[in-house]
Amino acid sequence: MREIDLVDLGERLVKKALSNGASEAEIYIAEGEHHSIACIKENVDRISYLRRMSIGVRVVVGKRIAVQGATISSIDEGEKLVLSAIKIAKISPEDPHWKTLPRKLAKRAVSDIYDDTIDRVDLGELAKDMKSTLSEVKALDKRLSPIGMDITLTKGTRIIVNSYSSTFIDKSTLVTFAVGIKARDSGSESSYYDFVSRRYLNEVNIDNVTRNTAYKALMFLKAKKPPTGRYEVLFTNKVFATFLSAIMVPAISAYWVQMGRSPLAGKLNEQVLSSELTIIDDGTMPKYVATRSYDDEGVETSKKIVFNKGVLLTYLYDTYTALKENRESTGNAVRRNLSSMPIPWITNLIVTPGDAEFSEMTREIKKGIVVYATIGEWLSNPVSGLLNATISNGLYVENGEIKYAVKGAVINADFYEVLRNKVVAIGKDVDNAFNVYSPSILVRDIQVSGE
Amino acid sequence: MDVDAVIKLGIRKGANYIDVRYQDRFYELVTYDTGNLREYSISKSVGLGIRVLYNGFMGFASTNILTKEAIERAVKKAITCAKASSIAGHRRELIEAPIVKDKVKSMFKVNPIDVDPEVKVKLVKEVNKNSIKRDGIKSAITRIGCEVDRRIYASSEGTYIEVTTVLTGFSHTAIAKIGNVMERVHDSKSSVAGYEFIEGNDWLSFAEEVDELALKAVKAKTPPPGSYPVVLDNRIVGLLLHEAFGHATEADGVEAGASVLTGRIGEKVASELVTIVDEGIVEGGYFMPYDDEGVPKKKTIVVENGILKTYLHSRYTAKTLGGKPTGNARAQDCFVPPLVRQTNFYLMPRGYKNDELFEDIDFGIYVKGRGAMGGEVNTSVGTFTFNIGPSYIIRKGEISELVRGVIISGMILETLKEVDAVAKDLTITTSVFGGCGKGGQRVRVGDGGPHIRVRKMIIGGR
Repeated sequence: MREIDLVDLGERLVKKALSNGASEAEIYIAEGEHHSIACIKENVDRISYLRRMSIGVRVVVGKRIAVQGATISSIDEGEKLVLSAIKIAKISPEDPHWKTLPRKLAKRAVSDIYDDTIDRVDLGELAKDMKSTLSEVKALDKRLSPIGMDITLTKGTRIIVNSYSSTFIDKSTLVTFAVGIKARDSGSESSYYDFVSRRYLNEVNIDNVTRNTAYKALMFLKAKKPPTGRYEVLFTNKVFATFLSAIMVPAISAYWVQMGRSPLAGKLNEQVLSSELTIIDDGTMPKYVATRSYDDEGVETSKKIVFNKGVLLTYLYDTYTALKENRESTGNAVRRNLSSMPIPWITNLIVTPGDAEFSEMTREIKKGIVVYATIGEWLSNPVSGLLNATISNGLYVENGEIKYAVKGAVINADFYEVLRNKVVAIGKDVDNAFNVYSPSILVRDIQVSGE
Repeated sequence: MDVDAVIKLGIRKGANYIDVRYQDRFYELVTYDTGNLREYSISKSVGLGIRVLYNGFMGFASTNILTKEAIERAVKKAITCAKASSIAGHRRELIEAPIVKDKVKSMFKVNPIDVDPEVKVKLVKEVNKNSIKRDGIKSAITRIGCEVDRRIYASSEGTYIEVTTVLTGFSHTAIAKIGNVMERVHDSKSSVAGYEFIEGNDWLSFAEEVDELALKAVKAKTPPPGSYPVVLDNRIVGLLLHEAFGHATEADGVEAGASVLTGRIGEKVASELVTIVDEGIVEGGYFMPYDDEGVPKKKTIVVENGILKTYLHSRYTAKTLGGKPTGNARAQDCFVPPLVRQTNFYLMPRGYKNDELFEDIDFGIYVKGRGAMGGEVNTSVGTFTFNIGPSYIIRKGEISELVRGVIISGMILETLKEVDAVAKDLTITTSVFGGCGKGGQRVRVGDGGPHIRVRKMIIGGR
């Protein structure tokens, strides 16, 4: 049961802002319910429930803007937040680039982003299934033991209303699942973690993911550092997706471009990547985890080809950055939290798959490393385009044959140089690291620091 | 907030234990980006987290709606979660902890909430505009951050603790561009203090140093890749300890078998020069007199002269693994249950002078923390990594040319054994802009140490 009518709340708060000196106002309301089951080793450790309702207020007084966010318990608290935001806006310097909040809010028809079975899930039974899967790990191989497993089922409601529009409301679900498994053999230890995020619970196959994770944990026993050198490297799909998140995603945001910190600034219509690479941003793909009918300021989402056969065709825009260039938003406004200004960011970033089988790409390697997991890739530098990552799970391959497992070696590369000149093959095997979908990719001549 | 009424309600509904965490947090960020006020953002968060043991099974629920009906629903939901756990879960016991009644505030003179917003805007504007006037500075982000975090912890055992922490800080990021090459350097300073910390520092000079470093770094090369002796400065040594060792001592990971330190209490895990402490209140660090289970966070000696003495514990892990509660159960906020986390994790100083650390290095790297963005560890594989700020090559014992920030990597069970010199100059820092992430939760931490020398670390370069 809901204590506050959220549609009524949004409309009231916009009126409150306009009647107290704001020339424009926008209210964003997010309500989320999360059920989580956490297992340690073979045991269900904890079941928890989180419910939170937050509002984001963006008010404009002429060209002065303020944003505030809060969890609120009553309409009165919402009104206080609006008044507080107006007070801040009035003392803020003018933003000479400010033009307007979005004036034409619109929805794109999207499908399959809400799993209504989540409402009916029996948490006790789901916990029992997880425990049963974990207890079977040792039966796969006596060297294996589970570290843990987590699942979170989220239901979200999002409401946007501004001084030019009626209220928009949408609902979505998200299921995130992670599992970790350890292997021990004659003094050597290894482990492997996998994670899955989907809109629908029935698309998370707990047994399969767990079994694959277990086999990988065995693969990485007796891992060591390879000699420092230059290698062919096969980045598996999720690893490559995390690299794109860390390095390319900020660089294609029009905000970064306009602020002078994107290495892709001034490169529109240039051949930036290999002609083998086509990358799109598509907020409309059925079932994809960031699909929705409108962005975080009520502009309809869309599909954009960002790189067509390696040629940079567009950056991603929200209303503010689009109006600075007298163009239309691409429907990419994202709020990282409700007290922040929206920023243009990806919806679903999708690398078009190639035609290479993963096994073929491995066999093609003369001297190289297949990278299954890294740490620290998020520390790469999106301003300079330099990729840094430490391999936590990898395999050393010579003449197509796996020789030993790798861990602790560091990869360094100019990411754009690699994607322009060093792509050898692109796989068929698309998977997602949250909202970046990518196939595996084989590249050559990569610096790896090890022994 | 009448937490006592919530506890009584939980007991009436059948819980054999209940604890309640109420939080009221204010966070303000004033951001100037390349000549414009990007945002004056204020975030307020109020809510209640409820943890119960019901027939020995644990359940947790949280809500930000604080009406009587919503709180009652949250209590019922926590019990429902505990009952669901009983189908496939295991009973949980908490180790005995002292019953405490206390109300504490961190030291501050000027509450940042009371400072005129125009004063804050004026300062970030001046520093930011000054920065982007410099030749070669393409873009700059300047911020003031202020946090007032009030947490109440109460349990059915009788503990009631109220802690208010005030944290303020200033940060500056400069992006330098020369030709087609760009480089970014970021730095921040924070203190458990009120707005007097902002007023008492020269931020124009602070930003100028960041800008100058970015302008030098953009012209610098990356270091040659490979394995070298390194000298780490005070700031990077905190990051090294936190990533290379701290996470592996967190007992929830140990319990899951996900730490390479599992089963190694009493073993030599580091050089005998290494003594590591986790402490709740320490100069320069974050303010943590009690954890989120109401346990006093005192000085915990984790490693003494190279020997692993204890893991960091919650009440649950201390019971399960047979340790003492160390006050390390911490939650990002009241909406999520606590995990085992570090507080202020630092290396104790020894007798070396800084100069002595460089003396017998023929070729190595002087690793600097200014500009470092963070790190990550995989405690079960045993690898860790962190990035470093613009640093210097060491040639024949002398500090030589600047090199761009890259990443360093190592193995938990090897790196601290390679420490062969520890200096005197201990410093510890915290940050209002970031913290440590684990299991989807971010908490404020402190870390630090003196300069140290490590005989071998992997430097990633091109």
